[in-house]
Amino acid sequence: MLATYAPLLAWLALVLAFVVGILALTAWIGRPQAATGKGDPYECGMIPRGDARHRFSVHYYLVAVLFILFDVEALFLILWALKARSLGLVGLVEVGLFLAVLAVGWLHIWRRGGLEWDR
Amino acid sequence: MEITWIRAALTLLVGFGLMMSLAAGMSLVERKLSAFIQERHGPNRVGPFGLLQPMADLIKFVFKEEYVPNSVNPLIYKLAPAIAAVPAMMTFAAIPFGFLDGQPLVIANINIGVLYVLAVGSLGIYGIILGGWSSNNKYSLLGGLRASAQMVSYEISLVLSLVAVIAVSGSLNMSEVVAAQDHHWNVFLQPVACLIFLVTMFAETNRHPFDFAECEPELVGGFHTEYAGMRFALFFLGEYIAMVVMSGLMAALFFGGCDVPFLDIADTPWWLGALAMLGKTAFFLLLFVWVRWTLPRFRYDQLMWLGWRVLLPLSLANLAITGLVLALLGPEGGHA
Amino acid sequence: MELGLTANDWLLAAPFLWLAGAGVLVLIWDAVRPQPLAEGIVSWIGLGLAAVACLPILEAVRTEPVEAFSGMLSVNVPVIVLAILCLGAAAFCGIVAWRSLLPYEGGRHTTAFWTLLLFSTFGMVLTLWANHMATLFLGVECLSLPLYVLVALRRDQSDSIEAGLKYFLLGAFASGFMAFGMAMVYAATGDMSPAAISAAAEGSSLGVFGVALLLIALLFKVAAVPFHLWVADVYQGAPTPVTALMATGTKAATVAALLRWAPGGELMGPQSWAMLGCLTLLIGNLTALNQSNLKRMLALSGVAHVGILLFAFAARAAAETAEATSQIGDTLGYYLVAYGLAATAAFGALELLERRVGHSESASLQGIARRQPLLAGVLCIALLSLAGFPLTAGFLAKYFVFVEMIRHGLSSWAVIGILLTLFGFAYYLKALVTLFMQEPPEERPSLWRPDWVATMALLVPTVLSVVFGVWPKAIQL
Repeated sequence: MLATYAPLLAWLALVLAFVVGILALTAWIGRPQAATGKGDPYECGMIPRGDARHRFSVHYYLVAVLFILFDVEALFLILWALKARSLGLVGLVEVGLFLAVLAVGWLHIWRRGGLEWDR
Repeated sequence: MEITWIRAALTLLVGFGLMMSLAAGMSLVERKLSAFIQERHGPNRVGPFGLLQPMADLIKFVFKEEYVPNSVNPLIYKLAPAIAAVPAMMTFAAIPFGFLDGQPLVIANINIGVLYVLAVGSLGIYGIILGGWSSNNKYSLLGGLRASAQMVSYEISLVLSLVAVIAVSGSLNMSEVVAAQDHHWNVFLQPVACLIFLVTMFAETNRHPFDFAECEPELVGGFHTEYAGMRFALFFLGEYIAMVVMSGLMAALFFGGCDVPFLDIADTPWWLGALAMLGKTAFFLLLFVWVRWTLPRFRYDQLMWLGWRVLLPLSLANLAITGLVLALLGPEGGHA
Repeated sequence: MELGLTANDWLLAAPFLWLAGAGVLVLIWDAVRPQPLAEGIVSWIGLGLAAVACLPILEAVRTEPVEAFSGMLSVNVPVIVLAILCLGAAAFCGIVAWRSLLPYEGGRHTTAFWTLLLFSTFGMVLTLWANHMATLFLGVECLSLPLYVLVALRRDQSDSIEAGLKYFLLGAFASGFMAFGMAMVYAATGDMSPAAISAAAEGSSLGVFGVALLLIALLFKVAAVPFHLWVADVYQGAPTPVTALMATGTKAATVAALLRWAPGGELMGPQSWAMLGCLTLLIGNLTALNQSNLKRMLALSGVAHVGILLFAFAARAAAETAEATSQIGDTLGYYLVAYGLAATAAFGALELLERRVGHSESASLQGIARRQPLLAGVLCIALLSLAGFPLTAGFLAKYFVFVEMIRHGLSSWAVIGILLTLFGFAYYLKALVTLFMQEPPEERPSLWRPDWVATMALLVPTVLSVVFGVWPKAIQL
């Protein structure tokens, strides 16, 4: 266990040291200098109006919900895939049922317009 | 045979150097190759043929002032580039470069390597969406939102295409997947999965023709509009390393990794294997640039359409067919 | 082809397969060619086949409980009866919703309604069958998640959305408690069967904490004081057919789950259960007393009923022999059936009356008996059964519980329970006075039409309430 993940932890330490180090270095060398107008958001030269943090359509979050559904499905499938050969036809039938139910869900979402991005 | 500490430490350091030089080299190659395709010269002032350009860029980035614009959320704004870059760098640790003395030549030989790359790799999206949101700039916000919806939509097809590969290889360990491809690369066994992976690879790294997170004509710079100096550079470092990792995955999972055609993996000298892996990775890195100047950009709804209505059912169908064939072959079949 | 399933596996899985199959079929139907009538018929057929599939199980469990899937599911007689009750409640919900809920927004939510109804019923049956923490969690989630949406189905009514959101947020917390508690119990005992509960309750503090979390989650789902605060708002805001389903099916499934998963011994002795029951009964009665909305009143009367059910738990905790325990299980089953029938009839009648007067405020239901004698009669019998009037199932159910309490040495609690029950008569009678003895207000002309199908369906639970009240053995047929 440790032998597998110790290199990974060392790698994490190395990566973090690099990122933090280089950010610290540039923060130390490149001190900001104040100037008028420099701090405004750049929106093609127009004077920014209002705040950018608007609420956005709930339709957007549907993508997130769909993602969770299908990604969890993919996780289950990974377990099956590892043993796909030895599980044979029985495993295929079971995973096929699972896939079929999900495919019906996908078909339904499609037909009900859940996948229309610009609606 | 245990891997010695010295070898582990050496792999670590060489790996880090390799990752950094690949990313830095990519930043030069991208510009040089773009220039070549467009019949320009590209960077050619710093060093011979502009070879020292990445060094000059690095020095310039370090000396840039670290400005925090007004009305941003300072903590998240400063953290976001690091959050984008670190996961990409972390995933590099699982890319195998061959075998030395029978042991995998890889920074961390994780037995769930494929899963690890997928899990950690998708964390990078947090950096992009947080960067876009914290900037308090409408373009940045749109860029961040687009990036997250896009990566999330393509992630599924990406994972499903890899599930088919896992089913064929029967392992989540990258080196074992590579070893299983001796003489029969997965690209021949799983051409559809390879194609799906190729497409999602571009989408997941926010590259042309799917670079909606930062498409200049619409969104100025997208999520990094408000970024400058080293923070901006970290976003790019993250993107380039993600490209390196994706190319590495493509090479290792579909194109045999360190396998040199017509040679047994066991008989291949380690340096030749590593070179083969590097060569394959480099090819896909160049493909990124090539595609960038060849294909026009999609429209955003077309992108979602492709992801949800073409790639998703295609990858599911591919998986179903793979499962059927494997089940018919039985427990021992397929391992020629 | 061998699928690795035994005959028992198929036997116990059959009701789920019918329910899930019907749900998926409705989804396909809607994707290909939306057709509300066909979807309703498919759903009813699914519910009916699931009920038919319960009958062979009933035959099999008459002698001893049946286990399946390596002990992850286990069924005995009361559980089957309650499952049939849940299926009936779902079918009834569909019948009552047909004219009111489904045409809303041009019938766009028909598919959502049927599939969610079927999947929720699926969850109820699975919760009843569950004999392993994994299946219990799966069941409770399958039961709750569709209900959150069903409660909020009337998107044009802010009440409905508010109820859905409240139910969802609180329910999600309860689910979190449940999963966390299960993890702790598993960590403490290494076991996920019901036996783990008592083992954990007597073991380390980790296990005790886990059991407590699981208990809290289940008490939330059955709406026992002090976790009852969501009930009034959710029952009132939900479309009334859905309220009927929640009052009957959800309550039956979750109380049965509580029966299987409740800790006993020193952690929750007879006195603790009785105290909890007494508090629930008292607070349920007190809050129900002053409601101006009949739906809200019925919701809080449901809380009071949970109080009496908790008294039965007290008797069970005091029982010493396995025979006595199983008899109390039967008593609880009878109580749930009696309550479920009465609640179904009450909410169903209220829904039909609501259609005539527009809402369920008692002020506008004054003297409705003159205009709607049949519905008012149904509501009257249902209210009497809920109150526990003799000759109704509600009376016998309460009587059995108090007898069990006295038999197991909880006489003083039983006396308190009886007094509180008599006190509860007040609000039922108040509702009856409103319905029958007051002058009806001027009626505005409306497009109201009688819904004879739903009215006929209403007679089923009403008649059964009386039949079981006169002849309790009929339930065992």
